Amino acid sequence: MAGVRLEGIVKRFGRTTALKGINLEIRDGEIMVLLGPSGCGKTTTLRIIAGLEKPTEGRVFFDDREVTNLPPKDRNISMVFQSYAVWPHMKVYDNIAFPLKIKKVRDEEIRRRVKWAAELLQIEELLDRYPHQLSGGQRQRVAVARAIVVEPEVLLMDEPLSNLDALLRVKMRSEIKKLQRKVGVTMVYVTHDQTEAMVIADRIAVMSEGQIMQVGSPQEVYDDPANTFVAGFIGSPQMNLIKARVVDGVIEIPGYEIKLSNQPSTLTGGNIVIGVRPEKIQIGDKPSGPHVEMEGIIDFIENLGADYIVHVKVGDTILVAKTTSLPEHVNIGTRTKIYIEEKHIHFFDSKTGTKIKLNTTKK
Amino acid sequence: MRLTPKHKAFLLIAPAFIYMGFFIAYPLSEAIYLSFFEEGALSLANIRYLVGSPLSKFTEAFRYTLTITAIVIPIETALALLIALFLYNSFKGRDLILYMVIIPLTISDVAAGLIWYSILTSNGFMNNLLISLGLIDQPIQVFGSEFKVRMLLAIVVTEVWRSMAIVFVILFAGLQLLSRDLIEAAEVFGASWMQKLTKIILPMLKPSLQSALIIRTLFAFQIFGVVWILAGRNIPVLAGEAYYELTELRHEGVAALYALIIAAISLSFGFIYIRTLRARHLEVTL
Repeated sequence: MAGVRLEGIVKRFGRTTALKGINLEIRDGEIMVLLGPSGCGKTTTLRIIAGLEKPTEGRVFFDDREVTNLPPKDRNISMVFQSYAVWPHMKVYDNIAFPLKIKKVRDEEIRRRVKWAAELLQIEELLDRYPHQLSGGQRQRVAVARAIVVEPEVLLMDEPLSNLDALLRVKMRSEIKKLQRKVGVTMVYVTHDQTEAMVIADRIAVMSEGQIMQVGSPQEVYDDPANTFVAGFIGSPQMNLIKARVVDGVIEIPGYEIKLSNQPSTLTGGNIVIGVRPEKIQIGDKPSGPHVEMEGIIDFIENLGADYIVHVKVGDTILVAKTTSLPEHVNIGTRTKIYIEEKHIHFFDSKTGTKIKLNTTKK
Repeated sequence: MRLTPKHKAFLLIAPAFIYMGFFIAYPLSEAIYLSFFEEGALSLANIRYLVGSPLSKFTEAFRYTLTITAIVIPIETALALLIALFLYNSFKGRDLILYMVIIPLTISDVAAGLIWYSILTSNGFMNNLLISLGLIDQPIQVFGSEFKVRMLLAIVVTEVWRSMAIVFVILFAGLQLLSRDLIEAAEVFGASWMQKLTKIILPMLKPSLQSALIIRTLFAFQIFGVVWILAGRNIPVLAGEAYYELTELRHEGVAALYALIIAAISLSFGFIYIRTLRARHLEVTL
């Protein structure tokens, strides 16, 4: 087991710069999820940790051992590939045993370890089959078994669930987390699915365009996004991000003015972006704490069974709210009051997108 | 009259049948007739001639054909595999090397023979180069009935140069089809270069290797043009003897017998390859 440290990692492919200076500390035994849209550099980062790519600049450490220039085989890592990369010409048993055979482990020990991994992944009865006789989910389990059988220092996962159907994906993501807890290995997990990231991660590194936007626990990146990118990427439905102007203590959004009960002193005049999560907008019920009250017209209602996604037109702006129940009179076209607790309003710089730190309240 | 599905099926495969009948079954039966019948009666005269007559160079031709095949195919397969592996990763100048390796594919065997003849002959490119470098005083003689081993070497070099291209193309294409992940996975799990090659790449490349070997072996037993240009009948080969028997000696029956023998050898090798290199588990996933 080992922690991983990336220092100033830059990676260029020809003229394009895939990574623009990544600094990241992954703690021993934790699950770090690299989350971002495709092309953000998360897989490149993973491949640099694996040793499949060499960084153009920067250094990689496993604990205090520098591994920047070591090939994968000298790093004691293992990996689950997006395509599973289960070798088609080997039976399941031989696939799982391969890393051990390479390391010249005794036959008896190999049998014991393969059995252990197969039991953990519940694939004992598949050991005698070839990969083409397995379903996608089963192949995925084989890939995971092969990855943990060597007891690696670091386990790397490159979108391991993205080729599975939705139901299986939901089941496997909690299983992978449980498995990691059992084995205790340091894990780096790449995904573009923010829900998957929230479920699996101990900490999430949100990436965009070759840079890390924010590192924090799922709750931290959800509650306190560092910038508009993170705010918009984490959470579903997306956070409402509205262009606004601050004039004399009043926040103007297109066609509407919002008054805060206590204006933060860091919020001087100028253009800003305000952010509110849909689930923090209340329709009908007045919250007890300091809050903002707005009036709007219901524009559209999506009924998801358990929840309603309600589009409310406030001035010229559409706010999306998520609520578990709707007051009876509310329907498309009705005028309604909505409430937002002030502590749930985020303020971002409109140019840089970074969060404007507030001095009044901390949570 | 309406066509039943059965009739339709026969109609659809008819062109293939007619083609096979006209170009394969008919010539084959003619060849068998020419070889084993004389004036309408079964006769073994051609076989007796083949193995017994002082005019016949059958045993020698058989030995040389096998020898050339046995030397050329392993060398060119190994070489093609190495180059394909070398060109697997892209780098500057890869396309140029690719073209250079493939060029011989476009050259006929007679032309290839002539090219190498002009390189290796006593006042050819090789001797001029070696003399101007001061490595030798007298040109090295390659051709002539007293230099059978040297001529054999020249044939091997020419054949490898000429026919490696097709093996390369097949293996290179097969290699490109292998998912990179499968090879990288081996790397991640600690395999050395050699282990990657023997445990992962080669087993998965089996279908391509099989195709390349079958095609090459079949053609190797038909080797003719290169040998005829470089060595004439000094190095007799089966197809060359068939040609000689037919055009010079007018022994149609013997020539047909040679053709049958070449076909029989090719068929049995093809059969062996298909049996031994069968890759059953590679069909679905990749």
